[in-house]
Amino acid sequence: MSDFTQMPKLDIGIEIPAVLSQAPNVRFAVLDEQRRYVLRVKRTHLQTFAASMTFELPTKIGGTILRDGLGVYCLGPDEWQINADLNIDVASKFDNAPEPFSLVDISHRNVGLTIEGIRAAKLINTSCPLDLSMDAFPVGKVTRTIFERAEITLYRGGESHFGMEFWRSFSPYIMGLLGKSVA
Amino acid sequence: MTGFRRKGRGRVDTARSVNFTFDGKSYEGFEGDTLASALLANGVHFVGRSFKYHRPRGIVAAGSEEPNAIVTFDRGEGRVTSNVRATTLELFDGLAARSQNYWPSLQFDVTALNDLGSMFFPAGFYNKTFMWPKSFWDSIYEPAIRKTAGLGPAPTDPDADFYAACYSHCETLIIGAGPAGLAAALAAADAGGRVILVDEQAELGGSFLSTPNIVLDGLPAWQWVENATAKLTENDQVTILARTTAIGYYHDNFLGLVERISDHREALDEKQPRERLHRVRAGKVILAQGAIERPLVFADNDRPGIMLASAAQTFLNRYGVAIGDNVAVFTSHDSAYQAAFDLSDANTRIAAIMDVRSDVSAALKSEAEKRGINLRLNTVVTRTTGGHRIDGLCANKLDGAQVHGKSDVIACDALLVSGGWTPSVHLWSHSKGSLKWDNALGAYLPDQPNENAICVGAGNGVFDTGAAMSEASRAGGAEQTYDVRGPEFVDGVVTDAMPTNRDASRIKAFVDFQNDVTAKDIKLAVREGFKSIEHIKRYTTTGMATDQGKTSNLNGLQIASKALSRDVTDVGLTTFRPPFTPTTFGVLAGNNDRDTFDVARLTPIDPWARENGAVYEPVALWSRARYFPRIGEDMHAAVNRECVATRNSLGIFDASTLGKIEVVGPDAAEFMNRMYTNPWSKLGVGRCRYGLMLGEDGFIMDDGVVGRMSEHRFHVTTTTGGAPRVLSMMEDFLQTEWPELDVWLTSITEQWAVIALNGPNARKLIEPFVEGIDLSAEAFPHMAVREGKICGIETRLFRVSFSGELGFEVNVPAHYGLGVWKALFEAGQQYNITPYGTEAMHVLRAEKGFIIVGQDTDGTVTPDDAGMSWAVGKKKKDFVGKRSLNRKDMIAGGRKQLVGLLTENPNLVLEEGAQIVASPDQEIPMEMIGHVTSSYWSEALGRSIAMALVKDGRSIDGDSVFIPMPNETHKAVVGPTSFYDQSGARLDV
Repeated sequence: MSDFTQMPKLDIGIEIPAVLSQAPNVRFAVLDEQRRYVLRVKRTHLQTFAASMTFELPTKIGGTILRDGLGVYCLGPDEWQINADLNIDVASKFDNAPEPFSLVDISHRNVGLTIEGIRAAKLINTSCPLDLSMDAFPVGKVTRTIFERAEITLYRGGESHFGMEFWRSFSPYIMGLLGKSVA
Repeated sequence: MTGFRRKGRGRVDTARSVNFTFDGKSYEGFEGDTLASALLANGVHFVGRSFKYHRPRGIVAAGSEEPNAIVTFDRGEGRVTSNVRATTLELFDGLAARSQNYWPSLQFDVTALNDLGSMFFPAGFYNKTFMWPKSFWDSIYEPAIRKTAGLGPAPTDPDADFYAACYSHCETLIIGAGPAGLAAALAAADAGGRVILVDEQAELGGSFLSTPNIVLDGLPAWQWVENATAKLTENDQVTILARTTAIGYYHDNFLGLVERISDHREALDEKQPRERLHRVRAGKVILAQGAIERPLVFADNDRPGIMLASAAQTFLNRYGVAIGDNVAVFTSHDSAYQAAFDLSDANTRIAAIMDVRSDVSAALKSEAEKRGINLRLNTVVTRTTGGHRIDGLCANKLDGAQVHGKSDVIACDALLVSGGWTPSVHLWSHSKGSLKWDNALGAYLPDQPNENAICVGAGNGVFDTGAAMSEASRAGGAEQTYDVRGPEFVDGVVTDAMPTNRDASRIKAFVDFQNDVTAKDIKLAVREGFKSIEHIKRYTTTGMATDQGKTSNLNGLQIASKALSRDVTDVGLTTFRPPFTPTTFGVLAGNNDRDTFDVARLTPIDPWARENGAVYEPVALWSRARYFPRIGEDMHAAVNRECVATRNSLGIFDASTLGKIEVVGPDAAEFMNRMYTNPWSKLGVGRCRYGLMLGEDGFIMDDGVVGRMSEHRFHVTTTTGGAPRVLSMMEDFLQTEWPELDVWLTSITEQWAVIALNGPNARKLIEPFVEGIDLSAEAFPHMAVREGKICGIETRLFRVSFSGELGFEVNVPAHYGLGVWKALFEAGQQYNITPYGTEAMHVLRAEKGFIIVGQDTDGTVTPDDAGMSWAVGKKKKDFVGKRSLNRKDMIAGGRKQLVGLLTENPNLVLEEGAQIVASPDQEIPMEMIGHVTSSYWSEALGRSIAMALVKDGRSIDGDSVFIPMPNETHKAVVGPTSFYDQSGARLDV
């Protein structure tokens, strides 16, 4: 059948520029390739649906459950994002899930960063209007928000540890804003 | 240093002298000076010329309300700022500034002749004079007026600085760090939560910096400020922002603050922004902005050397500068006395104090007497003299409202004026807090808040310092009371234009110094029928300069009120609008400049296009490869080559920017039925259909190919630019009209990179790479979609064509897009595979008559207009836009219809947008029956082709129409929109 021998190379299309990697008191890392899905289930169907799942769905908007290589983020009343290590077959976990629901693969739609360090919150706040105090945005919280004019999803993994995901093509803009602000 | 510095006074660092230039002349000042204080220390009062009459002007105030002393601040190329107030420009070594609004020099200005001819320049002069001929306004009058009037010139070089922005949050935001602001901050800091304290000046302390004699809780004012600042600085919940102006107060306690970072620094750090925009969301806002002293309105009140009394006090006590050697005072308010006393105590002669009131307190009289000051009650100033600086004045006794004819001539080199105080309610008003009129103060005071906000101190009309600070402490959440000792005089009367014994129509008593508006102008406006201050303001331009009338609005209002014989509250109040003080465009742009001016989206395949010399064009937020020129090729040649190669063998095109939406759920087909004109229920799994979407108005809004991936899953494509609005409209209908449907929408635009392969060899190219899909024409017909693998990567493979050739759109997960593209491109060499850009794509589709939404449609085109009634499901009950399609005008004759045009001269390519007429033998203006929407050179046909929207176009098939273009009118024949392979045989392979 196919006569090619080499798999096409993976290109996540996002790099940490020197201005960011050399910045003091903050560290940036590109999120590795992972599986990502958007799950949509109506609230009225949620109890039945969740009962059929082998993993737990957080029900509070902004809530997160991270377990066994699976991160489940509740982004809206009927919306979850599921991130998983590459070796986890996420889609098959829904083989017997009761309709109606929607599961869509967005593994390559999103790319992301981790931002860590005592400057992290302040740096994110250069372009993101959320209150990132520990009271208003505690550890474990996730939300869809904006970074100047690009949409992002922001997650807090620790007091000074954040994860940020955005659409692939927004990365030059977002990295440009971070580079400008970190100086 | 000259004799105007007073030893032992002021906060400037006399050990650190700095050199600066003004209008090219060198001067010396001290660290801590402003340009204004340093110029005054050098005896320089005359710093600019006025807007309209070009009269000599000096420094009026000591703060950001300064109307007169606006200068150009020049830090070199790309760093020239006009209209900077000398009173807020901090001095550093090497600072260069220059005056504005004169020609050829400040000292000798030709246009000052305007002043002599001023009787010809009344209020509304421009409106009245330059009415005719109308066509002269744009070309002659306005440019000429702009040249002679106006303030400093706009910069011509690109801004060399960069600007920063950030968001902040706090429980308490305090604007103003004077006595009240500091008291509020101390209280709020104790109460807990995050506090941001903002002051526009370089130092905290506000009025205390100008009143060192005040004693507070046993401490001199300056010591108290130092202690308070230290206490606030220690608290890590408190953020102090000095040199920061609160420019605007917006909804829900959202405020814009501009922090000045580099303008006051001698050395520029390339890594530091010039300014930073803080976008703050506050729980509570405490406004402690203080009050602004009002000038008095009398003849020739604008000469250099005439200054607000509080400004003179500030220059003396804060900067150690006496503003003259022989200073007169003219006042209607107690507060001017303290300035006179302070100057007198600093060895400046006080020529006289003239008070419009018939009596003042015994305390003031005795303090004046103690200093041997000539106090003249019941007295007004009717005239001032002097060229570039005041040298004397005429003082006349008042007898009730009458002014005695006899004048006493008093020599002076400066004149302090005070007409009382105007609380700064600017930000309060931005927040839509209501105001109430206070007759005693002659000012508006904050009334009911519209946000969680409170005004304290002088800004709230509380002028007693102790009371102001106690009130502020309560606002901050504590109960601290303050025991303040010191000279405080808070009585005064409210005046309008001062009475005079002279002919009021022949004097200039200025109300608005910056826009050169006099009392006479306001009275004239009233005589001409203007009754509301909103109209008087626009007619006379009072309060409309860059200072927004901070010193002039209330005087203007009083004069209008008196002229109208109506209460001030019936005359109205002009609206306060952000920004509080002039703000650079740079800081408003904030983070959004240069490479982050806007989101610039690039596809996964972009690195290859860049390496291969693509020329780009912007499409919505995307940068797309337009064509790939080879050496020596222009666009025309490159596009011809790309088109020919595609039609003859194989072209490869990056279609990743196509909008993509995955529509999933048991009601997916029903949802599609409602959103699109086409029927979807019977579309088989694995098949595609061209979908047409209308707005509710029935006009074409978007289109794209839709593939049915499974019973309950559609892969919808949209136009590149339409993707966000299509998804928004779908969500809108789903959430608000049809929440009962079990269907969900997910944007997958960026999940899939799309490689479009078009040409007779397209199948041959991919065959060896594809797994799990039978590519034969029978198994995989045109308008079908299959899932499998290509190059080992999962793919949604569409057999579709926007070129009329055999075509495949290879969808692969985005991170593999570049790799798969490279693999296919390499393998395609045997077929002369040719990358093409959006321009060739446009030509190929036009040859086939495929429309581009937004080019061949313009928001007024129905499916029938576009010749696409076939895309409308006739049996469908409903879909978005259906009802509109049946409206009378939508089915009436005479609509413009999309047709093809072939020019008589085959080499002529019509201009897109050119108008079309039925016959060139008409009188001008001719009846225009349509316009050209798409027009290209078709290499495949060896001639030009065009599409056009023409009135009843399909009914004049074969007729000639005419297209007037520059120099010549062209003839063309109307025909079908499809020009190439009309039978579609090339697809059927």
